[in-house]
Amino acid sequence: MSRAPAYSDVQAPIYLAFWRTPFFRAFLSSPSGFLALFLAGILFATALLAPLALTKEEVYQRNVRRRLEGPSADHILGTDNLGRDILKRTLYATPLSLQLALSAAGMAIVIGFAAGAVTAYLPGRLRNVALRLIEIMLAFPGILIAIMLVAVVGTSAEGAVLAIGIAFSPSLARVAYTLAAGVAGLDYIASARVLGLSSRRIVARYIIPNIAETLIVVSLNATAAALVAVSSLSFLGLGVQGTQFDWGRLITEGVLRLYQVPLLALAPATAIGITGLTLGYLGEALARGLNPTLWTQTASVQSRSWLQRYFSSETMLLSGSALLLIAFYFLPWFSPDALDPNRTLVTGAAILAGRANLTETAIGSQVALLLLRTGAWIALLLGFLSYFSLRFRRLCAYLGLICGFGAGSYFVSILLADSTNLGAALASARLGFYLGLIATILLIAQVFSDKSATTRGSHNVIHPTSQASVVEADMSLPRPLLQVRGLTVRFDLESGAIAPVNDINLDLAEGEIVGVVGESGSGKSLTALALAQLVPHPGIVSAHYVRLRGEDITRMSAGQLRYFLGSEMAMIFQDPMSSLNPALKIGTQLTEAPRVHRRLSGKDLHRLALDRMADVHISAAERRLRQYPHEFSGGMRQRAMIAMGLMNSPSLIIADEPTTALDVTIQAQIIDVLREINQEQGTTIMLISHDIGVIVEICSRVLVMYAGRIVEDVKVTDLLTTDKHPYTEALIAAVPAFDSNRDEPLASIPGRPPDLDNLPAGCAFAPRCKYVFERCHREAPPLLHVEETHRIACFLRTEPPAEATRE
Amino acid sequence: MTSSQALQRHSADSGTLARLTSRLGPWPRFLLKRAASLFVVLAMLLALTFLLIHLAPGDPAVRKAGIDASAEQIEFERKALGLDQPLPIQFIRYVQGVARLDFGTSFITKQSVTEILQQRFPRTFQLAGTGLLIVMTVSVPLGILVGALTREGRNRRLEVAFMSLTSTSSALPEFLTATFLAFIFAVTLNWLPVGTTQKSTAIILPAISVSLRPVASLARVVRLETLNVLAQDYIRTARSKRLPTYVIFTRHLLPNVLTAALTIGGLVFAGLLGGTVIVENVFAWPGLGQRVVDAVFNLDYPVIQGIVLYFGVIVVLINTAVDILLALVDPRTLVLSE
Amino acid sequence: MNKLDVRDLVVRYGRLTAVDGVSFGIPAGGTLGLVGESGSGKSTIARAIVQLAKAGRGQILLDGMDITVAHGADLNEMRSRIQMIFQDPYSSLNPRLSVGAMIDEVLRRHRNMKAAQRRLEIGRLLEMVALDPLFADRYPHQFSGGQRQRIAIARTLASQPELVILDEVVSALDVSVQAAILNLLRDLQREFRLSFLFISHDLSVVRYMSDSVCVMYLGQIVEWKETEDLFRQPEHPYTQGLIDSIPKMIAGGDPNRIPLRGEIPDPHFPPPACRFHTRCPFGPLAHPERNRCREDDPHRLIDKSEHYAACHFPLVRQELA
Ligand SMILES: Nc1ncnc2c1ncn2[C@@H]1O[C@H](COP(=O)(O)OP(=O)(O)O)[C@@H](O)[C@H]1O
Ligand code: SF4
Ligand code: SF4
Ligand SMILES: [Mg+2]
Repeated sequence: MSRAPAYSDVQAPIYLAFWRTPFFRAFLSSPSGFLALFLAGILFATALLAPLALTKEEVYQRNVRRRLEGPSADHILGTDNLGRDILKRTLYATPLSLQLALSAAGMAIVIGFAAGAVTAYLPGRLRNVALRLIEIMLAFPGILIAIMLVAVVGTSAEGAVLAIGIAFSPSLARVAYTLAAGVAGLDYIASARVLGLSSRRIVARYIIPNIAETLIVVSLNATAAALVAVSSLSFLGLGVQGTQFDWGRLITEGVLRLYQVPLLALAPATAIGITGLTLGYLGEALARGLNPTLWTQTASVQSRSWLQRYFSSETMLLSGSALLLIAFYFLPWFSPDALDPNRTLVTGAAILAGRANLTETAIGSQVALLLLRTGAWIALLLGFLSYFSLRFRRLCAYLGLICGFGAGSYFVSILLADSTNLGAALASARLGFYLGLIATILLIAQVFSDKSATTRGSHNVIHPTSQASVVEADMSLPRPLLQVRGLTVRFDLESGAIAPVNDINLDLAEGEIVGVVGESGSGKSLTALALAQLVPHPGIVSAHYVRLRGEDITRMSAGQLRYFLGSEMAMIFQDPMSSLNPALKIGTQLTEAPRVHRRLSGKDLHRLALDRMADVHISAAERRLRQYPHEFSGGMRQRAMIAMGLMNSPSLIIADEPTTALDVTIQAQIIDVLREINQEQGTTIMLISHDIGVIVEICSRVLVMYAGRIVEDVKVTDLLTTDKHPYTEALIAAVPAFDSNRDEPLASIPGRPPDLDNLPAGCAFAPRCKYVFERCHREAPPLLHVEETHRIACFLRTEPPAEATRE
Repeated sequence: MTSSQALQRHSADSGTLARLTSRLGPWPRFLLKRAASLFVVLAMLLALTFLLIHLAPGDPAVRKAGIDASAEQIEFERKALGLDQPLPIQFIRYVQGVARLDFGTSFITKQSVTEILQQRFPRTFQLAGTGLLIVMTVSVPLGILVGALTREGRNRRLEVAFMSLTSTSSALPEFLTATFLAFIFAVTLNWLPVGTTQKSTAIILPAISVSLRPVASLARVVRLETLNVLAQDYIRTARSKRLPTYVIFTRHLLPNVLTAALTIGGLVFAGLLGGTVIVENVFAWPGLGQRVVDAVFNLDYPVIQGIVLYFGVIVVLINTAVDILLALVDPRTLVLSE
Repeated sequence: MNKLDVRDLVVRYGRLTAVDGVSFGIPAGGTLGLVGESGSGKSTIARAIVQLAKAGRGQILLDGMDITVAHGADLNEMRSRIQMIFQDPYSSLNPRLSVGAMIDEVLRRHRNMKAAQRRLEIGRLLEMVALDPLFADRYPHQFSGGQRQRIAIARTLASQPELVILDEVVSALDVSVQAAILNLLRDLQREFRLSFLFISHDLSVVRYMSDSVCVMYLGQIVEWKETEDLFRQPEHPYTQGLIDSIPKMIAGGDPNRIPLRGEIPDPHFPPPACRFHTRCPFGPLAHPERNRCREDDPHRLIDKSEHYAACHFPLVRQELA
């Protein structure tokens, strides 16, 4: 055996440049990473440069002659009531606003996290008191606590920071407590402690990395909230005082003059909005950066080009929503009153709403406004619709962009009050309008002609496929209850299509108990779910036919199907606790199906429920029916599940691992109940289990599944005697039997089940089969009869090669 | 998350009390425990508001008498306020006053605080109540709807649109929303009135401003919880029984989702009350929020004390109501509280 | 002398006594199996031995030294000789550490090695559990359940333990994978002369792995026997019931088995005297004259330093009589 290269032979670089670390690559793996870096860069640069670039004079100097002006070339966003430049003041307020928010958040984070961590390590009684205290403070409106604290410490910027810092700490304490308490109970922390690692090391390498994600996101959220809260206090006049000003204070000034110069309030408001957005993106990107599953992304994802990744629908949406937000903030700015000698108040919002005062504007602008109005609506609509349309999304987005560009250039020309540009701007706006119109028509046409839209959500219906290849005489059971031909479940995943259930044919006779075994992932559960039409999204189920009592359920209408399956088929699942609704009484859950399908009610229904409870040996049924699932024990719950399945006297029960979650003693009891039901009521049972012992105990026939196919169909009585499929043989050998020799190693099956998206060419079991021969790699063995009641999918058994027969 | 939260909520006051009440049925036991914790919380609230005056800088007596008052006047006010008494006696007086619904009189307007509360509270209640109504009627159906449409990774685009929309609107501070709404609907379009309480439509803008943020955050929680519930095995069981969709949604999904909505409902209401303080100031809505800001400006301690206490009591009562409602909706809560 | 001796161990969680007066011993290089229904206290014993749970009473002797009273350097040294592997291979590995880093943590702590040596040792340990040494750079989420359990074993071996507690280590795995892990564990045991405390609810697996077996019921050990004896001639009715409950690969089931009725009672309120009397097919339920089971605790009379069955009417002796 050639030695694999040892770990120590591999030279991993000790130092990775920051931008090549897995963290940073994951950080940038979504557009939010770029947006966060970009916006944060701008904010920081502004905070650093604004006080240097702008002189005090520029910001504070009054000029009453030019007060409350609209946007102009001198004052891009206009002037305030004292004639000061709005943009400059907004920029100048950046460092103070950020500083206040960061220190308030920092304080809340330090106090909160410390309090939370300490609480988690307090002894029982004290901890409860501390928790209660945190809860109480949490229930109290934070801003009110802050206001009250301001009353105590006095109205000032420092006071506001202190108040917010304290008022916000309980929610952070609660988060920290939950995390600290939760993480301590985890298995990997326990194993680190057992391994004797020092507390410092456990905290640094086990606890912090695992809670960092949440802590960072929570901290960033807290920072955004602190910014809002400090601004709120300033807005109320309880924060920044004197000649100092932050964004909140600017807004206060602005709100008073909202009617005259809306930009006065809107500019600082936008600044707050952008900062909030930055923090949000930053949190999202950091969380991605800290997620180890993104460190090891599969090649297929990473190989997608930069462009492909960044022009995914998410990017469009994120930038779309950012644009929407900006539009929301800036819309009212675009007042064309720069054109209007009378300075009429005509705002962007008014344009949109069709309320612009047209008589007072020039004729040329009227046309422009009309275009603009329609164009702007269409651009907005397109932007929104393009999220949902499938194929023309990108086209629509580009067209919408062009529209927006046209409109934008028009606005710019107005802003600059440069009438020479007006003609060109109008032309582009008009072009944008026509393009938008075409795009809308295309979009509507596409929505109406899109077939996939009408078939959406049909995944849990079985699609009938052509019957040409069906071998009818394949199985001839005496009284067939269920006949399935060509059952296939497909999932079209990003990484490729897989078929976890692949062309299955099976028959169940009336009154049989048939077992299905196989390793996990072999498709047992999906087969059951497909028959019950419960396959999860986005699975697609198809079959030539599925006949239950002779009726093909693939060709039934939804209404027929509901009634037919509702009364003929029942399912029992693995975990009885989670399969019963915790909020409903057992009685309600038992009776709802017959109430719907058989229109039973009142006494009859109650008596039926009592009967069924008796069938599964639940005593004191009257009382039990009034109880909730949490009042039942595990075994009792599974009995109740079975009783529920029996309510409509179905002809078929599909039980998917009904005993796996239970103890052996309870398992034996449940098996007995199932056997009894089968014998007394003649119900056919399809029992899925990974435990071949359970199957042998109760079933008459067993289907063995491997990689989505049935590889053997055999009577249980023959299972331990005749030649079997090599996989079945290996499965049985791997179970430590009760009389096995304890000194011999167990027979294990080498390797692993194959990946469904990378199945071997011939027999799927070939890589693990000890009898494998040349033909196995070429062809897939079909499921063929070797005896009347025995089907095997293996060349060794159906067409043995010359040398193999010798054995 | 619901059950673990409920567990946390209730594990706090088990202990001696649990032993004392272990012979009662689950409901009396639960109610008794709630009542006990209510009592403790109210006592803490009283202590906190009482301390306010003593922690505050400056002498309340000087405040009350006015800056240019004489030493005798100040001494007189000190006596009138009871500040010459030892702290415990002052506290007992305070509690007695509160029990008589006497919170003192405003330093500035000399109006009795009780009167101020009577005048102002209905306005705040109207605003917060309408807000809560909007929050519950919009966010729960919205969250469930979007949750149902985006289950199992369906409709990725709708999901992203919903997430961006709710995250941006839950980051919008109330005073911004209020300002914008006022600007667009009152100033520009002149559709809705502001700065008045005379017209019945006047509440629309303040109520929307105050509820936008809670709507967004609650809708997110409801959507997540809907996804969570829809992925539960018991929903699969219900589907395997071929129940009509509306039954699955109303009987199996709704109660479980409501539990989550209710659990944070108390927090949402607290947030709403906080929002009213801001929004009242934007819209000149004559409620308690507007009054408390005035009071803080003027360091009018009795008014601050009264209003904060009042808000506190309401929040605590609402939370208790939520707890009881939760126990009614979800029978497990009763057991977990033991 | 035994590698591990547990004497009269009691562990309480609040008002619940999860383990109530348990005694057993594990010889060096031997395996003791621990079986019982869920909630019977198996994992609590494990956690007490590795000091994740606090022993309320009793002694846990490692090579004759009591670890419940040891402290400081002694305790650390003793702890490093006892290791544990957990049931759920998905939650017992730190998702943020690569496999190599995870093992490196242990090597740094317990073995005095240079970085390059540690690197070699990591590769060697991974090969020992039949994994590719190159896997050291991967993260837990990239592995299947069986592979994760191998990683957990490699990590445990890194500290060179003498006693390893295996708590349901194969319960979450498929039979095929389970067989391979069991074989691996037995090979390693032989190679390093490890002592195992093998906990499982699956009797056939326990039988395969153990030299002697303890059967637990409601926090007590009701029977302790050599493996062969226990399975051939169970004395305690509960042991008999457990054995009867296992599917035996007999089509149609074993007709002679005596099924156990009912379910394990609430451990907060264990039945008095013999805790099994509410379900015992040989106790007062079936034989009203056997009142003794309800009144007299069979555990009171037994010498627990060697094999025993805590029952007033043991099955084998009954048949002999
Ligand atoms: N929702 C799904 N999306 C993609 N693949 C799935 C989904 N559900 C199941 N599968 C795949 O189908 C295979 C068979 O699953 P299942 O029927 O649950 O197996 P079994 O019950 O035998 O353990 C699994 O390998 C799994 O990867
Ligand atoms: S067909 Fe070949 S590889 Fe497949 S099971 Fe049979 S012998 Fe093995
Ligand atoms: S003492 Fe009695 S009840 Fe207990 S196990 Fe023995 S026979 Fe059964
Ligand atoms: Mg399964």
